[in-house]
Amino acid sequence: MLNFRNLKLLQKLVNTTSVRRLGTTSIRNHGSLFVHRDTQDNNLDVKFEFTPDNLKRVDAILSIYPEGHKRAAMIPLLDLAQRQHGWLPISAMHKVAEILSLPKMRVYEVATFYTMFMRNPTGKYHIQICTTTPCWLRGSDEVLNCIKSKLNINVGETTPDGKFTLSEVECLGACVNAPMIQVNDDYYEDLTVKDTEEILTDLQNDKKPTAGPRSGRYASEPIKGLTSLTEEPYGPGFGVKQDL
Amino acid sequence: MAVNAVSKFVNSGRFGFLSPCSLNSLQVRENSTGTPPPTKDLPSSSLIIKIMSVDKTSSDRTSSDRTSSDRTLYDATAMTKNRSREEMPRKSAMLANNNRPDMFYYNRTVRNDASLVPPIRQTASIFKQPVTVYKNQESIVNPDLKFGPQEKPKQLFWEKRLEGLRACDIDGFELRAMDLPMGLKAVGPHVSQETLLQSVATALHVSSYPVTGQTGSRSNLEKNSGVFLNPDQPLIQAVAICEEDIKKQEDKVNSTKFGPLKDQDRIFTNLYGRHDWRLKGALKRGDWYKTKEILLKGPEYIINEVKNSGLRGRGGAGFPTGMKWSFMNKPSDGRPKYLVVNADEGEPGTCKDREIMRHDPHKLVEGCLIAGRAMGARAAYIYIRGEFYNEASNMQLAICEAYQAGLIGKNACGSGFDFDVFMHRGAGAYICGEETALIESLEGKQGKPRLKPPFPADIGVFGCPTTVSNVETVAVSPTICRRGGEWFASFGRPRNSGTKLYNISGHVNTPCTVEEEMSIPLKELIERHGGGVIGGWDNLLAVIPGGSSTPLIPKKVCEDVMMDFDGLVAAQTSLGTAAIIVMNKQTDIVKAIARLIMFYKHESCGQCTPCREGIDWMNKLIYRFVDGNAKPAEIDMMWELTKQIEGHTICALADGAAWPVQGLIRHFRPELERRMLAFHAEKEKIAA
Repeated sequence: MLNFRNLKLLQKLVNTTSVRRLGTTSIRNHGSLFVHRDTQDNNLDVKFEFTPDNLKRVDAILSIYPEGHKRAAMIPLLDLAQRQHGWLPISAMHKVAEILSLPKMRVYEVATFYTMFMRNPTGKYHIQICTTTPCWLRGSDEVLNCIKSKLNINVGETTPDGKFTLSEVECLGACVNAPMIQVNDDYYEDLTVKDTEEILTDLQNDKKPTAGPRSGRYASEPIKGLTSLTEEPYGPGFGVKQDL
Repeated sequence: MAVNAVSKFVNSGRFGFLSPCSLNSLQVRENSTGTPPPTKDLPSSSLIIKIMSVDKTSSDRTSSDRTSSDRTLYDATAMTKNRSREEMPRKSAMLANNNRPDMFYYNRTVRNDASLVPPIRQTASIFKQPVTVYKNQESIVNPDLKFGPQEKPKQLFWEKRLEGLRACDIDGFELRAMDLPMGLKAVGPHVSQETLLQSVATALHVSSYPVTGQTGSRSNLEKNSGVFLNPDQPLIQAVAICEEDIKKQEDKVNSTKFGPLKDQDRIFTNLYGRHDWRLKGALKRGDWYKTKEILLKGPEYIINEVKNSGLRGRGGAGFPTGMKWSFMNKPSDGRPKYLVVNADEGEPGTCKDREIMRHDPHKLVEGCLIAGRAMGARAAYIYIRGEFYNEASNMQLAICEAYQAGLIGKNACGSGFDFDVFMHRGAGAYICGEETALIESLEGKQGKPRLKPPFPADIGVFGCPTTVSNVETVAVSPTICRRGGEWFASFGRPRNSGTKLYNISGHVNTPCTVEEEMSIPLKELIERHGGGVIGGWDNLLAVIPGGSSTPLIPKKVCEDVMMDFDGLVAAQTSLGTAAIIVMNKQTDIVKAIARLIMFYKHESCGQCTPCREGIDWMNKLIYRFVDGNAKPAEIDMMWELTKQIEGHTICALADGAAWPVQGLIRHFRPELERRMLAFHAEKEKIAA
């Protein structure tokens, strides 16, 4: 008997028990698409050239790797291109391939593998929030919600004015100062919702807030006073072996 | 093979946890004499098919392997045991009412054509046949033994393989020759130290009685040992242990305390960045002091100091650093050698290398130089994770300062040794913390771990011998060389010696990074430096003691566990990078672990199927566990899944993903089941 009530129940059951999906391979491991799609901003006609300053940097980067291993400079060069352009268009990848005299595919491989290469237009301020367990334990969810509501965007989106991009990232290696966000290159640590709002307000006004912990401590020391390293460091020669 | 087995476990990366199943292969048996181990006599007939004649007249029939003599058989003695014989009655044979079965080993299709079967001769004849030698020229072998007695040629292969090998235990520690306690006195005629050792060892192994020693009087034993010697006891004088001795030993154990460290024994004196991190400040704190003298003492000296210090890799695997560095000291084949410093710190909970690089970068630069000297490297590459931009600039500045001061570069410190240090920034892939993935990434490829062998010490970055070491490991080496390995080894328990940077994060009142002695009790560490658990110690639920890859331990284990390699292995977890994540009772523990699994799912490089697919499955399952939307049987399924993932991949990322789940199931199974019950009760309530 399949009356209306039973149908509703069935629907509920279907909703609550997991539905097995086909195709279990994770397609979007990095939160962004692997493939390139031509868009207005990102197509083969967009020209990309390194600036003269950056060309000097390119030479400096290439010089630290041994002969015949120019390829090693791939990640630093892609990073340089991204810094110059704000994000990494496909023409920049081609430029890097040209400098390293590699097939373009080799560059695509690398650019899609590493999460720090933004292959889509990214806002002026790229906000990366860590939500991995140590940060989550200290309340990264509240910080994330605060950013979402304040900027009115979701994870992976850019504000319409092109100022902010919000990404949820994995551990950024500042777990003792959790929760934290990274805005471009700077870490903002020991955040509360209030601190986050302040940082975002500053950024909206194009003021650069001071990086570092917001709780008043300098780095990773215990906040209620030092429990170690209270003495002045000992000078050279302290405790050095006799035979040296 | 044996050397490979050892170096297989040389792993600096955070994925280097030794998995227990693979450890067995590491044990290299001591073979001091260098004689070849007994080779199992392979049956010479391993490829020979004995062809038995049908007419029973063959004289060389061996009846032992024959069950019924009237069969026509092609008996393959070399058939492996677990391969069963296929016996099937042939159709024609059945028709002829003949019950003799035919056997087929090599071809499943029935071949009736007799001409195809015998005689199959696959090797030379096994029968000894007389050989007549005709000589048509003089032998040129000189029969006189003027170069000494000529030994029969023998297989050098085995000896070569075992040359210079020493036994080591499962952690890779070299076993030393046994020292007997001073109190043991030999008794009996002609007992040398060696005999005594053997006799005690035999008694301990063989005798089922308590080992008490010889109770007869000494003079009797000397004079008439045949009568008074008790053959069940070793050749030692009876030792009497009285209450007092036991009490003394107990006091000794009780008075041994690990931590807190004195400030004068801390290596990272600018951990909190309260002083100048530049060269001037570093010099004032004692860095670069007598570096030239250390370099001039040579690689053996440095490696010896590091070996004496008992330093174990700080990146997670805990492989003895001195041994690892000594692998590089093979004779050069012309290729340059490289030191690669693993600064790709990304294990959730871990943030120790960051503090070194931004506040004490000169320790690392100096460490690179000294480690590079120890292994004869030409240059060091510091592979730092891409997100650490400011840390990388501090490092780069420190390197530039060191170049300008002549401390590195050509003729580093005036020692005549040329050494370069380069920075290389990554681009945000956790997997690049695995040593071979790091090498791939440094070469400008996707960070996908390589199969080993070849090990990086043979073929590493740019095809050259390479050692990958963690930042902390490298950064402590100058201080070890300056203050001596003994000083470093005086901290912590044996085999777990030294000082260590601990990160205390999660639900503690004052999360911090602190340098402490190894083997410090976890509780003391949390109470003293972490300011206690939020809500008090009784509010503690569980602790992840060594970064996200290590299984969690519940409160009752946390009470007295010691923070060192052995102590945590005994608690079924691991020291890892000593990143302590504290969770109090308000934590949704299942979600905390689920979030970690999501991390691993995100960071899997996708190369090996068990990791790529398995972690995805785990992720799906565990997020249902968070809600309780599962059956209790699925917990076992999950356990099975983790076991299928663990140890079936190239690198240890998959192991690191499987272990937290195993820890969760091991300690919090009732919680998982409670959630499932609650969920289903709720569902039924809605349905009703």
